[in-house]
Amino acid sequence: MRLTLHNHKAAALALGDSTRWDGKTLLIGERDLAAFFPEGLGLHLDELRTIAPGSQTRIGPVLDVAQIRHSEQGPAYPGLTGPAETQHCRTVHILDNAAVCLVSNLPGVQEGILDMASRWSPLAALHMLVCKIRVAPGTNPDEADAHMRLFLYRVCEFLGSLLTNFPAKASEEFVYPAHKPSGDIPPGDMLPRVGAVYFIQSQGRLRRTYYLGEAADALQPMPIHPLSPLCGSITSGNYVMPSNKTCTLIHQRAPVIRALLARDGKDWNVSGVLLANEASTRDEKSRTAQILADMAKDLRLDGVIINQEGGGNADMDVMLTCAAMEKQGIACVLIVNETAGPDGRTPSLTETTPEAVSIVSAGNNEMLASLPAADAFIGYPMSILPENTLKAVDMPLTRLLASANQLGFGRYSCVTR
Amino acid sequence: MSHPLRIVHYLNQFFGQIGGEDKADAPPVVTQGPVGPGLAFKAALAGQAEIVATIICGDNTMSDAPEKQAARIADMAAAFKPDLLIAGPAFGAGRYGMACGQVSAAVSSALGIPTLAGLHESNPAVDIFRSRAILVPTGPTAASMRAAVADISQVALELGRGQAPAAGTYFTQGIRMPVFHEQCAANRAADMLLARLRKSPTETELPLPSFEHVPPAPPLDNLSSSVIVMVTEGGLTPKGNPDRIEASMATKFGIYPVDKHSDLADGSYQASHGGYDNACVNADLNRLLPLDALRKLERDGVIGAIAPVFYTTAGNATTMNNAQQFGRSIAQDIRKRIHGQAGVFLTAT
Repeated sequence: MRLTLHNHKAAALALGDSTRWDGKTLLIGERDLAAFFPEGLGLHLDELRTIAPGSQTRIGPVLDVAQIRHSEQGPAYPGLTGPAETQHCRTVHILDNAAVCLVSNLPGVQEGILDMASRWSPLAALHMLVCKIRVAPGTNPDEADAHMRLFLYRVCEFLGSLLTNFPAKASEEFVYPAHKPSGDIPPGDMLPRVGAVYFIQSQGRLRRTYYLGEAADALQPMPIHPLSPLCGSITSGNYVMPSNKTCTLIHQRAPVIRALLARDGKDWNVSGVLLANEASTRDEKSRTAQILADMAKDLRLDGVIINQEGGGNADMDVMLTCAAMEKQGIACVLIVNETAGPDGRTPSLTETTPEAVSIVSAGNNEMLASLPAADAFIGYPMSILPENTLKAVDMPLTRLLASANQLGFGRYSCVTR
Repeated sequence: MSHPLRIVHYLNQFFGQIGGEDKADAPPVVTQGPVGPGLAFKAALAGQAEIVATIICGDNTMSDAPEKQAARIADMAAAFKPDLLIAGPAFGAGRYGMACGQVSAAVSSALGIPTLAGLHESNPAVDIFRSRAILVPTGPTAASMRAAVADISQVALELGRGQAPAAGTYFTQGIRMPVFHEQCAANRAADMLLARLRKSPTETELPLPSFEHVPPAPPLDNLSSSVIVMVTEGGLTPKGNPDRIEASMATKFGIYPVDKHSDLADGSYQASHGGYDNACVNADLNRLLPLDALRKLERDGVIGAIAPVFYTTAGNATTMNNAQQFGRSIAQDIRKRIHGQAGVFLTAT
């Protein structure tokens, strides 16, 4: 299968009377977006705002950030803006240095901030279109969430549809599999077989991740096509701690799969991506680990990268899976973040296993980051910014969106001193 | 700096020129200015710092009562208003190394100043004290005194200026410090996987932490005469959460009365915890803290009594330090209120 991503770049986003892309500026017509907004459901689109990277602007509570994208052969958000399929997906246009950010006062979410001037979130480097949506008291939070997310994806797809009029700044091509069929290769020349164990977290109301539009609460481990996340198959409605939550955009960027495919046919053969949910009981976690180890063995994998989402109880999923796989002779590299305390002195993980000898750290969640004073705040009152939303403040990284992402998106990490 | 840094120097009886093994019981004494190796430090510090006082103590005196003597020595040092303390170097010497570690840790904690000791990597004091003082690696014996003095002086001056010493100039303290890499974590993971597959040496970015073993309390002798204390980390509070216990990264716990006549489901309580969907628990809070079931056990005489208060916090991303402090405080409070046998019924989420 061949997938081409056309990565367009914007010099600016701006609001206006109509929606237009001229290859440089994306003009966003407020009325055009309002046409997608669901009426009469206790939701109100309070404001749209465009923000450039580096602005001294704080945004919160942030629910999600998603890509502006268009697929020539099907829905950009399969299962949500169109049928639940990615097998026809061949050409996708993305506004690569921009995104749409959903902000809401939805009750029951963990409060999170995106500080556009802070180096702590890799998402602050993107041009943002912020959609600020108020949920009226008494509105069913589950339904409000579903409608807001669908609005977000429709806006993303609508804006993405304009990109086809101008050539992209750069394009990427993914050919899978890049390696020759094994029958054509002498046995001595076979490359090692590798894969990804792709953990998502779907643990109940307002704590869900979606595969092809369906909540993954009851998902059993299963192989997916390695290019499927790049086609938009995974979206996030998981409102856990913002540093631990993998935003939809990060799923769409698929950093682990990209890192594996970059070497496909050269250093290794990418032979499987196993999607699995982090269930909330000990027994289910253990069962998932065993099933994943069986699948990896059946795929004859020599090594895997295992990512995490969330923390605390979620440490157990990666550790049980790592132990089960390493015992089968499968080399495991884990990507996890740490709970080493504000002073870096407390144990970094809730759960360990002696087999976890290869860990990449996505940084210490509990470190205090200093946020500089901001010029503007977009959003709703938050208990984590009580007095003055613009004041310089120290904030643990847990509260900063994507600051310690465990799908491997960022460069922040820790060393022992 | 406009004035030289003030350093207090700790030495044992031998390097402090009081005597040999025969003087290992010498009590701590203080003298103005540098003594013995202190003179080498004076030269190495070249006027940027001065040893204002030297405290000398026998190795056996220290090992017989390490905490008590170290506290005494911290008091003696305080009188000189030092900016830094240097202990040793002790090289590979066991008792002396432990004494240097103990003194450095005590002074650091009591005076809030940086403290350094020079130790060889084989010295057992290294692992015990590395997180409580800056331990500079030295050679195994005093034959490497010159190099040790130079290395320790370098680190001392950096610390005195408020700079972090360079990696490798002191034994790691097990502190996780932030760093930004060139490559994103996913790319670093791919590199690490390739190295594992090629059986090349790899280094984990996260050495596995070890957890302390917490021995459980002995079982209750007699349940039917014991007071059962309800404790929860599910975020149960009076309605409106009047004390503002945070739903995530809580910095406090609450103590609330268990009214003999009230019922958790009467609308005067709520659950507020960021880690789970609070709706089903808010529909019946007895399913978070089973007061109804415990009341039945009390009526039937299975348990002696339910304590008149319950303790609560929200256990979502609670830092370990806070959790330990809550636990200690709750235990102390229980002991103040209940003098007979008490057991804790703790619900977690």
